[in-house]
Amino acid sequence: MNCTKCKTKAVIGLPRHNAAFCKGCFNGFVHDQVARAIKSEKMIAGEDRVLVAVSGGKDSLALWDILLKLGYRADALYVDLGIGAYSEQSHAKVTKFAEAVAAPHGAVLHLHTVAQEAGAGIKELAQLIHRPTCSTCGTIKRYQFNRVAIEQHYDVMATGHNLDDEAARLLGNVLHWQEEYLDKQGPSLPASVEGFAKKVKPLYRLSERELAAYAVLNRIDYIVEECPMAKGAKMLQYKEVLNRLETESPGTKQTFYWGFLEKQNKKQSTATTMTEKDRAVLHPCASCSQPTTAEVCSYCKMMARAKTHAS
Amino acid sequence: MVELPSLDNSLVDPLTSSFLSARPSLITPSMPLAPCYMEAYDPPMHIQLSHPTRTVEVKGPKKVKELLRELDLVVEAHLVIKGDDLVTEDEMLYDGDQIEVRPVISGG
Repeated sequence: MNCTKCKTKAVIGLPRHNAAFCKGCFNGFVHDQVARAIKSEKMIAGEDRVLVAVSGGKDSLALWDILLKLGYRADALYVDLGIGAYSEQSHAKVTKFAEAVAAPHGAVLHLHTVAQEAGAGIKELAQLIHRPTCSTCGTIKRYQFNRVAIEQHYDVMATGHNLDDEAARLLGNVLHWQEEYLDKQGPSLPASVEGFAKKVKPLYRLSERELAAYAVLNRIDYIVEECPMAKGAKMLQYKEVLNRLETESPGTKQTFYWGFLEKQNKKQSTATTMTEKDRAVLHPCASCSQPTTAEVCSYCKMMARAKTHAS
Repeated sequence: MVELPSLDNSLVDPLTSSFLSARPSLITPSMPLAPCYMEAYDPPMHIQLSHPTRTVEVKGPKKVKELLRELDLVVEAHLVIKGDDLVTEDEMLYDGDQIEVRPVISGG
């Protein structure tokens, strides 16, 4: 198989684009897809300071790498969840990338350790408050990324969600007709109220396989093992189903998710609607001041329960 | 009467009385092997898999897409790495190759 652009030996075939690329042309393709996502969804302005949420996985490290190479001012935050050896390995890989690749660009890595604040790792914390581990993890990550973005005056918060993540999430929401979640499935969420950072997903045009290939080709050392807490998770099952469909019928995932986005965009000014909706229901948490629909936000409630159960 | 050449006893296996040239494992490395012997005696491909981490051996030669089909793995969810290099689905893999089949799905 030869590269569609330069005709040298290809290293990856992309059936959904009816193309194949050598390393150089593939890197160009990936950077171009991210640049197109940022431009079309007005994600990041030239002088914006970006906070990338990194986990040690391929997507977030590839995102940090790409944003730096595209010339953006991108720092990162790693949340140490305290999942034994898995967290230790993830942390080590993030630190290694930060020192070897990001630091020469002048980028900084922030760290938040769950055990330091909550007194326990994510698994023990979830058991203590009787909530599923993945949901506890999601609440903590969303809260901490938003907190650091606001406190450190970042303009945008970027996450490594890719086409597969978004297509799987959309499938889950459609299967259960969770229409209320569909508004928030866009790749760019505005800073709708005071205390909320703007959130963007610059990798939504790239598949999980393409990002893994980018990481391998560019020698980005990432954690290949999946999170031990995520075994059997619904989202992984949706991804498997979508990948079987994609293999048989290339382009299925992008048609599904991008088609959804087109329909959303046709609805008049979704961003304004979302901002109006948020402003109508959100107000500062009585405990920490981050926006919430309740009197006290779910993160503060969680921490209060953890402290009660621990004492 | 034509005189037959004398046999060189050093080329005869003392246990089986057969000629060493018929036993590829005892042939010196510099001697070229017939293709049928190479196929019979070369080590198979070593395939490293994840989730859980394990190694399996598969007989080559085989195209990448044939290997994935044999292992019942979906192309869209895997990368195939030969040595340090990413390879496409039409690449031929041979016995003795060190192959990693890396799953691309992560997260939960």
